[in-house]
Amino acid sequence: MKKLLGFWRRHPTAARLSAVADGQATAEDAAEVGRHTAACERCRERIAAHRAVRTMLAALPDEAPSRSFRLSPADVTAPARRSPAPTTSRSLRLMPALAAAAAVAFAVLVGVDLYARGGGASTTSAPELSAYSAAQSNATPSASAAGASGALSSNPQASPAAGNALAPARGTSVPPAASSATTEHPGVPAPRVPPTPPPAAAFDSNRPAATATPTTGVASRGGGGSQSPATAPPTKGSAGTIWLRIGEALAAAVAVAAGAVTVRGIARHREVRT
Amino acid sequence: MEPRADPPSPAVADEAALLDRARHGDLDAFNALVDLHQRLVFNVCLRLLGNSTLAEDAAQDAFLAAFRHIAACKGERFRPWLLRIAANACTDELRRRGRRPAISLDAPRPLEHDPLDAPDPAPGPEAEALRSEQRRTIAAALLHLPNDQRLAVVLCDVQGLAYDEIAEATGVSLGTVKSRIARAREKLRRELGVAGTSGARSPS
Repeated sequence: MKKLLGFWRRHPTAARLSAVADGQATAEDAAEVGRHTAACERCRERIAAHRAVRTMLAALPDEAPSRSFRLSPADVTAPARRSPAPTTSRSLRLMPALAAAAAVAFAVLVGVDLYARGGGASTTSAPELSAYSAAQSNATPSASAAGASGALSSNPQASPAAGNALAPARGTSVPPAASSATTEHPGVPAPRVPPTPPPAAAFDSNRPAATATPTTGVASRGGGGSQSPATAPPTKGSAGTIWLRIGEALAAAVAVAAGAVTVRGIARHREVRT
Repeated sequence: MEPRADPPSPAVADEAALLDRARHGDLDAFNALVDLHQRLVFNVCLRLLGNSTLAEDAAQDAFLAAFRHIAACKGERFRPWLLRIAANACTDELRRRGRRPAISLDAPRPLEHDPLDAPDPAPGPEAEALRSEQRRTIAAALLHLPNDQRLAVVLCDVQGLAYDEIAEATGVSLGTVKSRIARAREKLRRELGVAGTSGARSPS
């Protein structure tokens, strides 16, 4: 073991040896390595190997280019075909976060909607619905605030926030239907769990899929979201429902727009790096 | 070893004057700088990419970018700054082609002849063919290196630049330059079967 440690302590590193081989070491470093190699054949051989490789590479001949690389005035004024000085576009960073936030908000609102329809259509009363609309306006900013921080991992905070806002309105502990954005569903009494077929049939067919779809399904959800105000029959307490519809439409529109900008930005970034 | 990269005639002061005029938009002055450095830039790109057509594209891109960003080159030497742009152009080219530089379809064969053998005093066509085969093998071995090691060893061994200029051109410390060169040489040594002191082939 001592011999092994002595090995590591005594021999110069490959980097030092190659610097000496190239004549690029400092005078004192060269002297120190020289003292070592006087007694160490292994390191002498390594230095010789470095020199041999260097000689081989130096023997590679230069080639003449087939043309001159002088620039003409036209070269200079034309837009760059591709430029080796890349910069990252700011919008590439913000747009995906915005798209994700809007998609989360949409999912939350749809979940709330389905939840209301699933259990609340017959028992809805005005005070509860006004609490609902309060819950929505709580859910949307919290979802978008969470999203705007740029971290998709903040989804779990968005959904429970919506869920907690709902709970006092309902007076029972119920699963946040909005947890569609996350994969875990707390074990809950069955009747509240979406999708419940009869109310779902009242929506256009895109909707039930929307709660389970991951955030990549933005485009189809955008379609679903924008159609919903037209197809959804007005229920009792329609004031809260209208807010819900508006929120869904807005979130869907923002998600689609931001998503489109992101995709276009990525495509452009790949094609021309400026 | 004399660096082959030194421009043949103009003094350093002349180049500084050209650079200054180029910074003020003088395209003729910039083109004079192109004349001085284009052979070096092209050949560095050639050894980095392994293909002369790609190397010409990368070199042209590099000079275009250099003129566009010439204002950024102040307080530093022009040549390493230009080489940094050329290296970026080559990296971009490699990215466009999926990271690996073009390698010939034939896998490089180990050298038939020890390259340290004395050159044939009367080189016939056979000797010339052998040498050209050796060069292809060496050039291919270069392409197997990781990009940053290849750049360091091409600038150092093929073009003869000093370590400090390589550090400027690659934007890393002197210590990093040394270690990249050392590692590149170790890999090339293994791949090309280079022996140390004796002429015998080493088993590794």
